Amino acid sequence: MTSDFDISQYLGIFLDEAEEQIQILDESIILLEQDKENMELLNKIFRAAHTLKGSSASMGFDKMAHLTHAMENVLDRLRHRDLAVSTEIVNLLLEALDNLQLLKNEIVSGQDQQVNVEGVIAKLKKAAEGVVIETLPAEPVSPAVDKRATEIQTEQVKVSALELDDIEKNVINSAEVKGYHIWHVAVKLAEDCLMKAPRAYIVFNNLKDAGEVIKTIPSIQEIEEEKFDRTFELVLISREDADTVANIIKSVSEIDSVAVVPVVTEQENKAADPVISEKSAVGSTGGKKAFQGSAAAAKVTQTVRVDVQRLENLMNLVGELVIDRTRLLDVGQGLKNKLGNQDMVETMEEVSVHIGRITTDLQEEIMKARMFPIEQVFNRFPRMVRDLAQKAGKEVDFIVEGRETELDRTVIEEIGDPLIHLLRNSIDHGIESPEERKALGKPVQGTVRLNAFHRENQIIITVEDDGRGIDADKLRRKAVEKGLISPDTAARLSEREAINLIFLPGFSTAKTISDVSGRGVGMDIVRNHIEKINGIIDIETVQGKGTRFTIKLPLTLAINRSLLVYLDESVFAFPLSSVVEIINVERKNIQRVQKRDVVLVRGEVLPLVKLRQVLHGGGAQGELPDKFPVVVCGISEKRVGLVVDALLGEQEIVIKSLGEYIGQVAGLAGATIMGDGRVALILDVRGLIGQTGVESYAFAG
Amino acid sequence: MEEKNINAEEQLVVFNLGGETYGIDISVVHEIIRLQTITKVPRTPHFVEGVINLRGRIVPVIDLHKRFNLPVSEETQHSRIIVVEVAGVTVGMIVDSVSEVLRLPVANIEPPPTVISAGIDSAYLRGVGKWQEQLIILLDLDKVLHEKEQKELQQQSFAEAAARVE
Repeated sequence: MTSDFDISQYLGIFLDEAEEQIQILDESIILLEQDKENMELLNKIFRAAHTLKGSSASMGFDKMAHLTHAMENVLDRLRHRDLAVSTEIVNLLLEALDNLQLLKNEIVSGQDQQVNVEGVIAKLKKAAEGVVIETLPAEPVSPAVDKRATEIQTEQVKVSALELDDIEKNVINSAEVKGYHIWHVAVKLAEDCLMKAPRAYIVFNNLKDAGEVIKTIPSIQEIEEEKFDRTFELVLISREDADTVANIIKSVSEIDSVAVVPVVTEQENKAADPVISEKSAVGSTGGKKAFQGSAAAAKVTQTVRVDVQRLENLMNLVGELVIDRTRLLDVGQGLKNKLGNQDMVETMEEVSVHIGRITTDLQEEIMKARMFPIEQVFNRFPRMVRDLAQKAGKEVDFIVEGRETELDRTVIEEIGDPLIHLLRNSIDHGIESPEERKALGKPVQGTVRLNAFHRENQIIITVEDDGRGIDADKLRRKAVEKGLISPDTAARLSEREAINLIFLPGFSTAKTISDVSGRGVGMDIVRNHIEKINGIIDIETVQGKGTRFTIKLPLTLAINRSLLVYLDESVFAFPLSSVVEIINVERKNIQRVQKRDVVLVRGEVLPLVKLRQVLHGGGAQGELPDKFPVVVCGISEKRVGLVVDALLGEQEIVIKSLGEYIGQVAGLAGATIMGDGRVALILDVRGLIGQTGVESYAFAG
Repeated sequence: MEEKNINAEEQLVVFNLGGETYGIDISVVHEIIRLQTITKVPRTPHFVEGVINLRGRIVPVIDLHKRFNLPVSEETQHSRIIVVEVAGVTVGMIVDSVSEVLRLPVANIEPPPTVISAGIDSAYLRGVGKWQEQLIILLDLDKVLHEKEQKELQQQSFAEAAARVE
């Protein structure tokens, strides 16, 4: 079937679509398990499987087509309530889904690795046949479908509910008055129909003689772009009866089936609405629209996929504009001084102000284009949590909140792994077994809550469980046992510090290595990951009550709010996320502790470090002035005061790397270009503090 | 060396450095710009002057005098930065002046002699070109930019520096 057409040019589109459908399946099947009666969900799942079947078949990926076909059969039985949604069925569907994923990967890698799907297909077939006897009464005919409808063929297409705007309603009303029929026609193309858009076009063309098409679903444009599955619908005003209309359409080749029903008038439609919307989705337009659940349906935005690199380039170009804008202002000022208030000079000023405003807007828009809802990451988790809980023999109610929270793409890419680990941690170590919970008087089902939200300039993600909490003493003992700290140090650690021991490299609290968590990754890796994207992780825990991990992340990695400071005429930028406060220190208040300069700030000892010395090394060059600004930086509980020459202010900066030639410099996170075109270096506070030796205060590691 | 066509020629950008004439292949030269504010970057090799803003890009700049251990000459109005791209790495090089672009017949190029000038190591040379009684030192930019010395210098650790702070 595919021999005479080049599939490679469609492969990208196919894979994107497949990914999308697999995502939908993944999310929806899990939800279905919790909400077994949800017809809408079931329909969504069915449509996704159906779409995959169609597209994989037309691409010639037979294994995938067969598998999705088998899934579809089972789903169809579920939809018709011939089968009930059970854990077994859900497991089976998930197994099929896993196989779909494998098949997709096989296609991506381009190598036929012989993923064997026969087994799961057989299981699906059995499931579809197996329990058919226990049927519920057949699905009642949708009230929207008139009994007089002409039904051709056994495999019937169903029409969806019509949404007509005022103009269309007027047209229909006046046509009705004139004695025309108004037909709602649904056309289903043959399964292997390759040129769907031309087919649809021929249908429209042939109908021209019979009447007038006043509406199509999806829109004509979408049909032309083949943005529909196998079914499209139209509203026809015609003198002809339903049979004639159906026959005209049937005369076109590669048509699978046709349904022609009279358009229901508004009053009836309204009354029947809730039912229709549920049933109608069944055979409706397979296009994107249909896949958005009812909740999301309100927000149908058109999107295109853009290469991230392209956005990056746009960002750079805008950066240049920003710089030119400043220069333009300078030139304008210069001209004004020279020539006075001439018309030309004034015009130029106006233009430069306008360009300035556009540039700012442009910058903002491009930044927004890089933002994605965290949904992309979160959606993977319900399935994972379910599997983990099942394996660990625990009952877990998994609550996900804040899916719509947007963050930068680069952050999204990095945050997945740490979250997986934290969720694992909660299920493995946090949540107790059902028996244990019962004995403790807790609800048998444990709760794990994943939440994301914005706070000021940060994204906060929390992973929370109502399990047993973390025992600080146990951690102390464990750390001593492993030789990570001395018994003395362990005894001196505060509760909070003891709990933070969990982040030490080589630390794991799992008594036995379980199947799911024993992969050699510890919490230290989680912390490293999060710090790599300039984030901070915190733990709060109450024994017997539960644990909450809180991750604070910058909105974006590319753009950062910074505190600019002067040091020897150069400008340096402190990422605001690591700045705790700015204080002015008088030289006379400096004290010496362990050969180190410190000051007392509200009773706490703050070590002072001269930024100049950390950056450039060398001895104590010059004396400090009587009074100087200090930037207090913090990482977790550690604080250090960095002495700078002067403060310049706060600014949003675009982070750029120092380039391959220079590479990574410890203590520097990169460089940025300021409004006046100068380059400022961005400090990596963690790297800096690491070099000051202050870190060794916190842990006697 | 392989046999070369008598008529083959190389197109070179010729510049002056510490009183000597150097040439580099024109195809690696992106542009030649005037000296501008260079932002110093701490903890980089001594010959790295810092970074500049090249129309929105951060480009590192090295001083060829320092790279070749030549005495550093005064900055003049003839001083230029030659921006080159070699093996995907973009670097600006400070030179005393850029004199011309010329075509040099390949036949006029000789392999590097062992000792050629006071400072520059022959390892950085690709050859010596003769043009109108003048000698042009042809640089092997790959070596100039990717010599491992650079890496080693970069490894100089913060700890070492921090120790000096005490």
